[in-house]
Order: sequence, then structure tokens, then C-alpha cells
Amino acid sequence: MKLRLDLLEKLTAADILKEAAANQHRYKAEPSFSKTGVGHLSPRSTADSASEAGRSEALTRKLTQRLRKNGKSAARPS
Amino acid sequence: MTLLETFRFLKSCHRRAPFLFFNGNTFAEIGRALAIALFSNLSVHRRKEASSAAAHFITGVLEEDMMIGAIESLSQTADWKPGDRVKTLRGSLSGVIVRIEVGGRVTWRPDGAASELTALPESLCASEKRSG
Repeated sequence: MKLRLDLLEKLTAADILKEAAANQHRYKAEPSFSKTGVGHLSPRSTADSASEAGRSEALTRKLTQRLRKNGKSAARPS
Repeated sequence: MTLLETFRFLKSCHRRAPFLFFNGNTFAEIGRALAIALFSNLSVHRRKEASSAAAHFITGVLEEDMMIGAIESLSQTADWKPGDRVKTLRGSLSGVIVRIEVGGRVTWRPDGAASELTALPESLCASEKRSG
């Protein structure tokens, strides 16, 4: 399988922030991993799973669009 | 830096806990977003499971070798045929393929069950043969 480094280059901090905000409820607020050496990530619910699939699709689509847009503007003569 | 080194680095950041609250979603979600972008060639369900494995590793709830095994098995494509051993994407059920339907769907029988299940080919992974 080819890793899509081209799409990774189009990923922004804002995209990651959006993902983190959507999944916030699955994490423990306190830094338990640093204190106990045991991490925490609650299992996803059916609703989480459905929204995760949707967001994953949307993010991939957005990155692909950015890549295409960037490719067109790069190809345009200056 | 390799992808594994990146995930290890994110895990170490989470363990060091630079913030008072919510270190987990800060670092695990970076890993999840990286995985979603990098594994865009996988089908939606496989991509979701691969990014979830990375996030669970970074948060310290999944061992490194288990994450590597999960991502490797999700990255494999297979041309299924009756008799092949398969498991679900999360590995919660494993069994053997009974037949391939006309539309391409796969009918398989979980181990120890008499009933048959039907699945899309991309929602199954190759499973190692059971010993004994």
C-alpha cells in the first residue's frame, strides 16, 4: 500500500483541531497516562463510529481537493 | 523519521503530559489525522480501524506490536477463495470462507458457529491458521 504523503502535506493544524474537538469526550481530562503508565481512550459508540467514518471521508475529500487546487495553480503560467 | 517513530514520539509526548488537561486528545488526534491522510488509499472502514489503532497506541492502551500487526493486516489486499481463513477488521471474530457470492460478497462461517455470515470483501482480513 502506498502511503499518501502528498495528502499529508495538505493537512493543517486546523484540520487536526477539528478532529480533536470532535473526539474530546472519549479522553480523560486528567493526565492519567503520565501518573499511572496506563492510558485511557474510551470505546467508541455507534454514533461515534458513524461520525468518525463521515469525518474521515470529509477530511480525505478536503485534502484531495486542496491537492488538485494546488496542482492547478502550480501548473498555471506565471 | 519513519511513521512508527512519529507515533512513538507522539506517545512519548502524551506520557510526558505537557498540559494540565487533555494531553490524550492533543497527541492521539494528531496521530489519527496523520493516519487518515496517509492511509487514504484504504477503504473507509479499514482507514478508520488503522487510524484508531494508531490513536490507541499513542494513548497507551494498545501495545506497539499489536498496532503494527493491525495496520499491516489492514494494508493487505486479498483475492478471497473458499477455504481461506479470515477475521473481522478488529479481529473479534475469525473463521473460514464458505463461498464467494455472485456479486462479490463473501459468505463465511465463524469458528465454532453453525451459522454463516455475509460480508464485503474489504471488511475481512486474512487470518493465520489456528494451531492444533
